[in-house]
Amino acid sequence: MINIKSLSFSYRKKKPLFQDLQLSLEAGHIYGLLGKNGAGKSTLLKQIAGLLFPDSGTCEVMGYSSANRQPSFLQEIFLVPEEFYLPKFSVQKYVNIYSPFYPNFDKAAFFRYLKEFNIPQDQQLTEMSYGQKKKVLISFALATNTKVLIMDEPTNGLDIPSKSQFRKVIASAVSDDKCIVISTHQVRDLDNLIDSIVIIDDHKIVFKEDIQTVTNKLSFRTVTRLEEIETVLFADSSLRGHNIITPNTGFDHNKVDMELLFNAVLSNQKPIQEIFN
Amino acid sequence: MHTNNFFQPTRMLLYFKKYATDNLKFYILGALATFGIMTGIGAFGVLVAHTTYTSTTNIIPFYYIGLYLGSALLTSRSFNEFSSKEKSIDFLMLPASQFEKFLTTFLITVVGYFIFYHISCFLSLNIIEGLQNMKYNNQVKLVHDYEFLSNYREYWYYGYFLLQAIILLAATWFHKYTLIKTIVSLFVVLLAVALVHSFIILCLFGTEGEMYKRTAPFFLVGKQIYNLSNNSSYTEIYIIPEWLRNTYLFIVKFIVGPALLVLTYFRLKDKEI
Repeated sequence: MINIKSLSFSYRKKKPLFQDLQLSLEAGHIYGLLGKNGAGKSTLLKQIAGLLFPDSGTCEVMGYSSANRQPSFLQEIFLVPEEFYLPKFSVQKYVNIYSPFYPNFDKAAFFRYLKEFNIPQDQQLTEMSYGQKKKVLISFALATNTKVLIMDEPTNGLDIPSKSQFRKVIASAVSDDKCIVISTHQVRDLDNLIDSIVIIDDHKIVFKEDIQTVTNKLSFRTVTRLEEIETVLFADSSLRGHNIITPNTGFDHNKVDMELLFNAVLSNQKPIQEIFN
Repeated sequence: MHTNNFFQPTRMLLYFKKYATDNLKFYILGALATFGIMTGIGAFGVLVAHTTYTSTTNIIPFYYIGLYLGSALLTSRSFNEFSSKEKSIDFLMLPASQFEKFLTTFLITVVGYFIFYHISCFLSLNIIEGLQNMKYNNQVKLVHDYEFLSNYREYWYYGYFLLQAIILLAATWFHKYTLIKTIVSLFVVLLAVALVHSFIILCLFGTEGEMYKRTAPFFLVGKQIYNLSNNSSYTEIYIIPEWLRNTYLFIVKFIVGPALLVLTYFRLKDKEI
């Protein structure tokens, strides 16, 4: 569904952000795009959305070159940016003006999502808080039923109850023909939501695996004594003990600690990559 | 269903509705201000300054000032979505083609203002005429001679569309203080052309007749002739042949404006955030 081949991009000459980046994302998945600050998560999403053009290489989404921004492409992709614009309309007027552009827009679903988020439907968008506006935009994005949905830091600005509402709403909207890409640096917000992890670092994709494969091959545990463990791929010490990642030799399926995995991939890339290759 | 990715009337109408709704408040205020100023100045002239208007040609300077200034202010606001990243994303990601977005802007600013302005002028003129008739008991007549449409004055309209095309193109570059930046840029470009031309003339003819000082680039040069016997001087004008003048005129009237509009469209198409 999303095919990026040999993509190179830089904002400034001699300072490449991506070099020969390859990425393929399929429908029916919710991808979590993780990376350090400045790694290029938002830039990659903008490349997918056609808001930035590659210096070299190609970025194809549903067979369209995203840089062409053709209407038939735009009506099948929706981007929820971190910082967004909403006009000075009421919610109702916003839907009436914007929804006709999306052939598969589901009005009933939109109001259902709003209800789920506890957003009043008769309010002016400008009178809403940042978090409320974001929830309106997320609800609208989901109701468009576009094949590709891109979200850049969607949980930023959401309060704690809203984050779980967000997970619930996204989970209810996923289908086999949709590809959802969520970029975040708050990995815990995506717990139990994403089914694939993509980590971007050092100008390229350094890790791309589905959660099932990760649990099959890695084990996440908390131990009190690090010395008793034979092969520790990564350890992070806290007051409760040591959070560790080890190769999963016993076929035990425990929950993926995404934060730990993220730190492990960035600091101890080679042994982890060897396990997955 | 096959989607036409260049132009689809229904999608264009949807975008037109979206664009107009987005800017409705500004358009209403702008329209009221334009109509109010035009009528106000005329009414002030009749009622307070005791001016009498006997022919529409008398008030034509106000008409041209309003046409140029109002349209320049409106058109310079085009594509102001690019002044913020958030608005740019909203603009670029909306499922309408770049041509539809461009055409909507063109229709509202260039064509829309032109139509509105003439309706507004017509109404203002009638109000002013009514006030004048009332004040002078129908003794002073305003003659609707429309002389301003004769004697090559149609060039004001070619100028209008050319200026609009220039501002539209500039609006894809400058997103804040567009009009001021456009005027400055235009001045710099014209100055550069004049300097280059003067330099070429200087290289070709040296300081002979001080021709480099008296040039209208690519159109004429003036050669200063000094008559030492009676200590006088005059300027001999060398002008390009008529066929070339006509060609220039044709290009300015029919080619430059559309070419700038095409350029604007492609600038818009290649816009990144």
